[in-house]
Amino acid sequence: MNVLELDDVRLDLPSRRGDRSLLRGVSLSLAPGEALGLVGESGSGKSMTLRTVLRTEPAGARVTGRVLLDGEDVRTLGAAALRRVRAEAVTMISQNPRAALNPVLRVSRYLVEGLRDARGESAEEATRRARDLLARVGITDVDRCMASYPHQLSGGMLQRVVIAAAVASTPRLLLADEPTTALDVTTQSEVMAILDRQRREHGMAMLFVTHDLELASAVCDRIAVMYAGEIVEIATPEQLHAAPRHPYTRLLLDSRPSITARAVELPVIPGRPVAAYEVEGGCAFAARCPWAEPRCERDEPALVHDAGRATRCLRAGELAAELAGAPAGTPGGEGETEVRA
Amino acid sequence: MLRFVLRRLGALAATLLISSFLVFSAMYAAPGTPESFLVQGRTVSPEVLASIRAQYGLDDPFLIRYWNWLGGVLTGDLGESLTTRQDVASLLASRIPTTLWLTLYAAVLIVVFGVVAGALAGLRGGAFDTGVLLGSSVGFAVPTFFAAVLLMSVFSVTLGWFPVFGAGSGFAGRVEHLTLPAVALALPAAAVVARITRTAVVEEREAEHVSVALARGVPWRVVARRHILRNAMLPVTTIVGVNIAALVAGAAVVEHAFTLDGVGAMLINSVQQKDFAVVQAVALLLVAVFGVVNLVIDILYAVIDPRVQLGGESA
Repeated sequence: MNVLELDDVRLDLPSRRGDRSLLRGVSLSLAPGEALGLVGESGSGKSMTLRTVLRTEPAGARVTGRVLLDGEDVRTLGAAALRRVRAEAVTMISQNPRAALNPVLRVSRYLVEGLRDARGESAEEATRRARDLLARVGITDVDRCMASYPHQLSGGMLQRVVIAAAVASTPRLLLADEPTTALDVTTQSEVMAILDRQRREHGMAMLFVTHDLELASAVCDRIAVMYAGEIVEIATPEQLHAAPRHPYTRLLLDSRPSITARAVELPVIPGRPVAAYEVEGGCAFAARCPWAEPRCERDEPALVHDAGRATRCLRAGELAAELAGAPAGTPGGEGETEVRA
Repeated sequence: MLRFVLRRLGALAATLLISSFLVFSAMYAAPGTPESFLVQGRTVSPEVLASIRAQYGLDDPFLIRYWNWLGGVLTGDLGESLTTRQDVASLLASRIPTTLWLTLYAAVLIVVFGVVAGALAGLRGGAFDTGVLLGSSVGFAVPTFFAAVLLMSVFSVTLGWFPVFGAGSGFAGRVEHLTLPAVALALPAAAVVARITRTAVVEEREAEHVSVALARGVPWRVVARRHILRNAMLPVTTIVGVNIAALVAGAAVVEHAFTLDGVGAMLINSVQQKDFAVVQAVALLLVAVFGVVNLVIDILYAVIDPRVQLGGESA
């Protein structure tokens, strides 16, 4: 059975000018131990998708669809059962560790709290385990770290603390919301390596939200590309890089800076990202898509599954050959002219 | 920590010194002279006037007079009341217990009703929240003197639950006599404290670490106590401290209204009678109380917020 299965999850947020739709039917599944990357621009709904799993979406949000955790719908759980899920089965690592910890309490309090107050372990056991966890995420001076207040530690150290706390309950599923975005580059790779190792050691599945396609490719088994509140393509990193099937994925790949070629100007995707609530029928990406045809503005494409991958594009079949190939910026890159247009 | 306290005590001493000068000179800048009060409107010969001036040292240069007064204050001699010829220090000592009782009672009311009501309003929301908001607006808007009169007419005169005047003796007597004055005194401050507590709690509820704690499965009761209330108490401590310190000054109005024999009533009387020695002593006492309360709050703040670097430690 899949650890996690999202089935047509929609999220609407009431606002003064009527309801705003943030998720327009997200469906995905996660096998035990699998890492799935959720990639997309800001506002595409990737974090919001993550939050529907632990039911931490903004107050007043209306969520429909099913979120099955080991076959059980977390959206219908009672308060006590939900708290148990949060304490034991699913943990979340958020973007900014500095905001995740109470600034006036010591690190030891944060770690012990998750074991003692959330899971009912004894104080001694919780403290012993907390120290052990810190050592395992590569913190050398455990005593000093335990006694520190958050403002006395660096961002990288704090994120290690958060990771230690997240893997403490050996959850079935880890939700990581851009866990390295707030860190500087050298710390990023360290923290990512620790996270990845902890995940593999404990056999946890991971839903990894990032806007960094490269990072997602490095740590994830599959990648789901999101645009305007829906998934437009799911594939393995290899498939995505070799032959993206959705124009948006192609353009995302092209807009990365190349390490080898020195670009005068980075290609950008024309237009601005569309919010989910702005979409009015037809393909959400049609307005920015160089390959769009009149019918793209009219007909809404469905997520079509085909040989282990899925694409939401009316022209996926005809464009397959054109979208595949090396990214723009290298000679012979297909679609290069369209991107720059 | 010790160095921090010592430094703050030094600052307090400097504040007192400066305010003592201001207090002393303000009395002489005010219209009317003490000797004109002493003769009480009678026509006296210039010789008598001169002897009075000599007796009270009024002919000495200003700085000399200040220096003499300051020397007296530092040795515990606050001078002699011009009206009663009594020692100001012992006069003050007899008045302090009532005012102390009144302000401590009011301080307890502020903490209990202001902080508790505000915290519950912030945590619960809904009708209780609206009630607290409404109540605090009313409490803040009603002038203390009017509140005193209103409380007296309702609870003392009409219902007869509390005595109309006097400060009472013994614990039960004090509580009985000082309940209405303390309520009148605490009302505006409790209203402000309730409102600020509520805002602080609501703000803290929105903090990311609170939703993170909940998302980790920490029970709501623990989150409310450890993460919301504890953090919200930081701004609340400051505002409670300032309000309690201000009570000592506010007590004057209430003591006057309830005819209590406290320091505040004494201040009003001596100002009216131009009893210089008493006014100076009381004013200095008010400044000292304000300074000490603020010092206590600062130390408390450093204890509850680890991010506050005490001056002595960071150096």
